[in-house]
Amino acid sequence: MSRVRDSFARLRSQQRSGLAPFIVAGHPCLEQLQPIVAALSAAQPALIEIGLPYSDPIADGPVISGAMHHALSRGATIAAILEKVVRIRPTTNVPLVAMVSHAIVHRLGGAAFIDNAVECGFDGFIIPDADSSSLDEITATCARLDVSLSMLVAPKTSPKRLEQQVRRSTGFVYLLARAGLTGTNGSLTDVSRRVAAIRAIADIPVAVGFGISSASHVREATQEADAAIVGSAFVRAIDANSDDPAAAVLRLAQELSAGLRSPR
Amino acid sequence: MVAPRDNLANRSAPVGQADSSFAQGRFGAYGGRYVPETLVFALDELLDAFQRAVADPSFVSELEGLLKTFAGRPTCLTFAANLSARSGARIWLKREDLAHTGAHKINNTIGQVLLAKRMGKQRIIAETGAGQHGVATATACAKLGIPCEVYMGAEDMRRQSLNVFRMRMLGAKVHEVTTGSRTLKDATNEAMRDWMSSVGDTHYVLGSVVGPHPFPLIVRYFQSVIGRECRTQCLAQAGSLPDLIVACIGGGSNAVGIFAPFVDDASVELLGIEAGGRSNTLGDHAATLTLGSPGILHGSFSYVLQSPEGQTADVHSCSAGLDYPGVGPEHAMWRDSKRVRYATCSDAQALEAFQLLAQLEGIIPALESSHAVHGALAAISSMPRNKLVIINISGRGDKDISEVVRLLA
Repeated sequence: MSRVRDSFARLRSQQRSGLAPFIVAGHPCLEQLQPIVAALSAAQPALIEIGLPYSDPIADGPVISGAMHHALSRGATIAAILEKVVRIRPTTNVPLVAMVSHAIVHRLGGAAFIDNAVECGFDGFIIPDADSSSLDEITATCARLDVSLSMLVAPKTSPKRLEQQVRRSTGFVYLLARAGLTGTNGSLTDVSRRVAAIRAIADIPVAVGFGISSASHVREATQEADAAIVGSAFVRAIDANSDDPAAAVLRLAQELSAGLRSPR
Repeated sequence: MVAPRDNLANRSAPVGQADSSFAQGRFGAYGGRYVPETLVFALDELLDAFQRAVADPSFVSELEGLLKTFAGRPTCLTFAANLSARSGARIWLKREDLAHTGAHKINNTIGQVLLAKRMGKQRIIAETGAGQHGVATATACAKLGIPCEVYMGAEDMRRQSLNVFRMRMLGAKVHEVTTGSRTLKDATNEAMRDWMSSVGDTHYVLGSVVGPHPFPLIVRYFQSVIGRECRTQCLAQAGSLPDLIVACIGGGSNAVGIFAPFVDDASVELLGIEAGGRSNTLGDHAATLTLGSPGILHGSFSYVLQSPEGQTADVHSCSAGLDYPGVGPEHAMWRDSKRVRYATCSDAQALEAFQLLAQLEGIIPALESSHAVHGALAAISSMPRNKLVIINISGRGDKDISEVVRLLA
């Protein structure tokens, strides 16, 4: 986790918040993964979240699930993605966090998959459909390898479960800005108060995601939080600029960064 | 036989009080709740409401009343004299095809829609494969006065256009799903996505014993009426417990419904028949328990037809209701413990059984149920003569006529 931990520590010491762009590996094609990661790295994000495509991503709206189906139809396999990550790893020092369904983690060996993905260069994991009662081995493996495991917290997560989710998380907690799906709009639900509720349990960085697609959303989300996760907007930008997706994501990252908190 | 009140909690303990691991959503190692965090609260709320409802005599009597006077329960147990003479066994048919809307699905939808109203929900959503669950949900919603929207794969809408029309006639909005394989799996994804955004005022009526806890438990409870009736009827009409019960398996709700009240009867052999489709090649069948492996789909850990990397495989069956790459977690547990044996029936064998039952017994079964008919006859051929066998005729075949005409051409 040293990369994830160092990244959030640096942001805190500078009294800044960071951007956490999300992309789908294999979208628009696997060859573009390295140029896209390089372009995003140039915008100095807190981390880059790389979604591993899954055939049945129930947490994701049409934009991200469409990108995943596209990646799978273009033949993106988990093995091929991990090989790419091996090559990308020496080219950037930005933390790379995998967003991966429990279905895939389980099929590829649970803790053994985590071991393998870390060896390939991932610095952390988000398992958005995790059954937390089945995560003990994975939690222990992430701790042993010193990589992040971010549990999710939703607007209606009960206080008891909130505590469990926060205590299980290492690296950062993933706070859902609103109920619903990725790629939806509407106002953020009481984010600052909920960040405070997490901080009351543990001193751990908080990244806010779901439905954040503009600099003003980023500003609202990171008043208290450490980072803003932006997914669908990056996927859309790639869709709209398939000839040069790297330039498009860099442009968007710069635009969104205008909403980040900086020292006053 | 309409679930005497004291019967609801006996035998197989349908609510799970007898087995705390059921109440925690685990069937052995299977089940669980592999869902986005947004749904966890809703599932907790649903479990709580369900447990309160089934402990409330007024809920149970309202449900029983609707099952009796609206859904037409109990459905009868029919002696199949001609099929018996031909096979050498004494074959009885549990006639879920006679339930209102033509399949067992109505048992679950009336129960869940009643539950949703009790929870104060304003809107119902559902997924459907063959359309039977969609029709049954739309029917319960019309009867109980609550708006209904159904997600259905484009491919299934083509195969089951009659049911699409029925749902619309019943006032439901039908959403065509064009993602992925455009069948039940994808319709389920879309319904879950809808629920993620609407969970405050919407109840998702899941149609089978699949999905995250507590759905497998809830659907088991509402479908167990099949097996409870069947047990009483079999003792009264045939004079003893059956030697063998056969049911088809897609997600597995008609099978869990008829099996659950017999699971503790060691002398009763239970046989589930999966869709063998065209061949044993991945993509050509829907035989999840026979040919799949443990995995996660739609919120629960069970058997799944999947690639070596965990991507859900495409499936095929001539029967839209069996065309699903997952299966209920309780079946996964029964498979591993060998309490239930699972076998397959190909498209061609199902088509044969479809015609056979029509011609010998005057009953046109659903293509789904035709799988069970074939599976039963195959099992009987290696059994001693004169055994008592029950086949669950989970639905009627009217919906399949045009598909059968196409396949026989």
